[in-house]
Amino acid sequence: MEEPRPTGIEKEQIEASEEEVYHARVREEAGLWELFVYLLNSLPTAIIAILILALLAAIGTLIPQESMGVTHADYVAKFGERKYHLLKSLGFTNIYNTVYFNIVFLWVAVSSIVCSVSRLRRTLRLWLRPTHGYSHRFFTARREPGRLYREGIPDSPEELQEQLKRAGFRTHLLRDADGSASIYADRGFIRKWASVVFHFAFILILVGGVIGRVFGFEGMVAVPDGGTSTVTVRLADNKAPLVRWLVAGVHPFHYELNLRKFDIEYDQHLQPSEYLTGLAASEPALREYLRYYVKDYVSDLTVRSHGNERRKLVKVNHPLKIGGTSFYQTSYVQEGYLLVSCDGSEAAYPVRAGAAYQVWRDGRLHEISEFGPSPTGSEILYHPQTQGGTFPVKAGPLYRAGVREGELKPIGLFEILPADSTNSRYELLNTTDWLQLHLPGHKLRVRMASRVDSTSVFQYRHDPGVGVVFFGWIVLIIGIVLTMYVPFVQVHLRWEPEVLYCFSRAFGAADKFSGYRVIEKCLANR
Amino acid sequence: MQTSLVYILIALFAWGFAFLLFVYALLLRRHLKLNYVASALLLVGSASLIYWLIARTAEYWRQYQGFVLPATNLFESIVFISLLVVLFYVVADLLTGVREFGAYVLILPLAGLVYLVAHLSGEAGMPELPPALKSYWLPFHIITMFISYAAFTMAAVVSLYYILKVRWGIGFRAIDLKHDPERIDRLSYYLVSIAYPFLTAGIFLGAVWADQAWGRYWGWDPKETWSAITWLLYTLYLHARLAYGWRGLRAAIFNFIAYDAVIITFIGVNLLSSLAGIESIHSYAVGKGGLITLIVLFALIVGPLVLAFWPTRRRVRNAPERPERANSAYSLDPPKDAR
Repeated sequence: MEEPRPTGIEKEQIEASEEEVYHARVREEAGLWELFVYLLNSLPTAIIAILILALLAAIGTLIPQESMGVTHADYVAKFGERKYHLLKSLGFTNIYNTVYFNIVFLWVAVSSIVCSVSRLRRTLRLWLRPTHGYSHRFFTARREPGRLYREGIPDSPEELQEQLKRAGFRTHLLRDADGSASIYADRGFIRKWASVVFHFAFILILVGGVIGRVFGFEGMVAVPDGGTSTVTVRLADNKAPLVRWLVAGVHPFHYELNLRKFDIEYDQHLQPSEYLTGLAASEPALREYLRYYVKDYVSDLTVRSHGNERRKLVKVNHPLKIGGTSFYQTSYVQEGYLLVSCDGSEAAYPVRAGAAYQVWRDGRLHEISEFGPSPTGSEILYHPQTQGGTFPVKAGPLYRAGVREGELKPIGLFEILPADSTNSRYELLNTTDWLQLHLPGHKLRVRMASRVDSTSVFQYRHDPGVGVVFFGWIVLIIGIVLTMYVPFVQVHLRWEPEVLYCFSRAFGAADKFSGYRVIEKCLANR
Repeated sequence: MQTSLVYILIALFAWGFAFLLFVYALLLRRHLKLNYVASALLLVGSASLIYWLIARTAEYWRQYQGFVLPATNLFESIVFISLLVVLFYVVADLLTGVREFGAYVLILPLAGLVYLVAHLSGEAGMPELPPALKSYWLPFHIITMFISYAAFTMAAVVSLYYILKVRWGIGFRAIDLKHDPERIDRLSYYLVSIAYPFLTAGIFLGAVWADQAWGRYWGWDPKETWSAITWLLYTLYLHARLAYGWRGLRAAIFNFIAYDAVIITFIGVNLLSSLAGIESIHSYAVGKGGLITLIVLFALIVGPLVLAFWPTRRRVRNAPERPERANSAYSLDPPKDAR
């Protein structure tokens, strides 16, 4: 049994006054540093910081961000030069990397750490030395007053303690000087620990993010079909000065990517095109073009790095990993060739989506996007790129409902614009049928050439923090679930020979009087 | 097989009729048994949508030789979320008896279906699936997110009733007899506490998937950013409630503001982004941003704020902001239980 201690009234008075003294001292005589720590530990400040963070993040979703590949020209076209400069000077065009965003973020992070540490201290104190020695005031001055029992009071507090233990409670007993005793009991303490753990897990996620930003890198690399590309990364590049100093000694990362084969696999819609979303096109050529959709793009990729070699069929959702760096299939470029036959002589020209072409009297295909059409040239061939998407040449292994059916020979969609009229028509060119074009005094026809140039584009990323982030996230979820759904019941008892004061609270319990029920059951069983 | 709008229409009419019955039962409390008929109608409508979703899944299976959860574009997403909201309501009713709120709960699912039939019927067909969506993470990510949205919707509905009742005095005796404001207040918190872990898990699953598909777990894409904003707002709500003891009107208003973020994350972010000319890599979830959509979205976001903040002369009553301190010595009466 523990030593008798002062009665509860004294203890409660001491505790209340200590807290008051602390707040008064901070308010009146705190220095700058103390005030800073006080603010970091204050929930209202944290709430304001989180609200500011949310607001800044929301601004970033309304103004296109440079990090998403928006160029200067795009901004000027959208906002005008003056507005763009204003937005840029405010940092709104790259808001997630601005100093003020990072300061607010850092504030929230540090504030979470400070709050979590103080939560840990509180929880540890409750776990090891729960506050004892309850006064009468403790039981009455609550929002929900306690209860008083006179019937069936056990002869000794230990008997009550034993019964509480049997009901699954953790108990602490304290004898007072006057012979009475206080018992603190709780059940479901895992809820308290879970709360501590998930607050730290949130910090772990932030730490993982920082590790990724300091020791990680990312970028894009394009590899032509059958070709090779190399990537060399120095960690210190594009980093803040402090980070640059930190990682200055790290050896550069070097990768050699060899793309043995790159296939864009096409599948065919089984349903009639009028039922397919977005394909309700009136032009038969467009409908035929849209019938084939990209099933997958598959790169037979080999990566060599510092003596290691890995080979894998890289697809979307199936990256290649080597030495902590991952290579993801992100996009591709497929460019076809247009075969032009003018008066018997044939030549193939590359065509790219979004460009317009015209055959001039010299029998050659010219891109006319810059200089405008020639009045003496042929009809204009526009290789469309619309707001709804690009229409590049399609060629590759052909499937039907997942079953390989053969090879899709290059097909290309062109909008034909006659020089003398605004009425245009769509034509789907293939490698077998010639399309006659009008060029005064010449016999001109075009079709797709068999040649297609493909380039596979990979995103590479080295992020040593991702494991920490995901681990932190899993702990966060488990912690939240435990904190939300494990009930925590506290019972405070003051035993006197003829009377029992009881105050109980239940957090997250369906029955918030469950603590009283346990006590009443104990008393009734006697 | 072609999934047909007929099943959507069946659900629309069944739920519409159920809505009318719920309203009738609220107005004339003697006919509360009508609520059972309304609940049956809800199940009929839900069955129709479930059939639609199964048929769509079968189509996907045929086309893509694998399981694809039919929630890959706005049309399918609205069908899916409407169904989940109604099913969540049915389950919540079985557990806690909230049938009287039926008319309120049905407002959003009905609005969703009307929007589909009136403005999105052109997109009822099966969409083309980008390779990134062919991932086993898709169903896990979407189902957890949508369950959280459904629970948040239910919580917002309950809070809406609370705001209308306490601040504006607009309520129904049929509800008030069974649910006092304190109970409604607790109910909205319980619903948020169900939704919040699902939201956290949903964002996590999305991050894991993004890590595999796009090579980064977080990229400040508008949809991702708004899901984080939603998470932050509900985190604040829980802290305000648990650490500050916020109850009643303040908590209800905060809950509703946080729900605005859910609406923006689910549907508004695509619209706002397309209006602002921002390309989102979640673009497969983009709907057509017509004027009607804009008006509906505006009403959904601004409506609750007006209800919450518009000056009213009505005195706030029955609001358990903070219970009074009990100064009296406690009695020896038998314990009073709230339940």
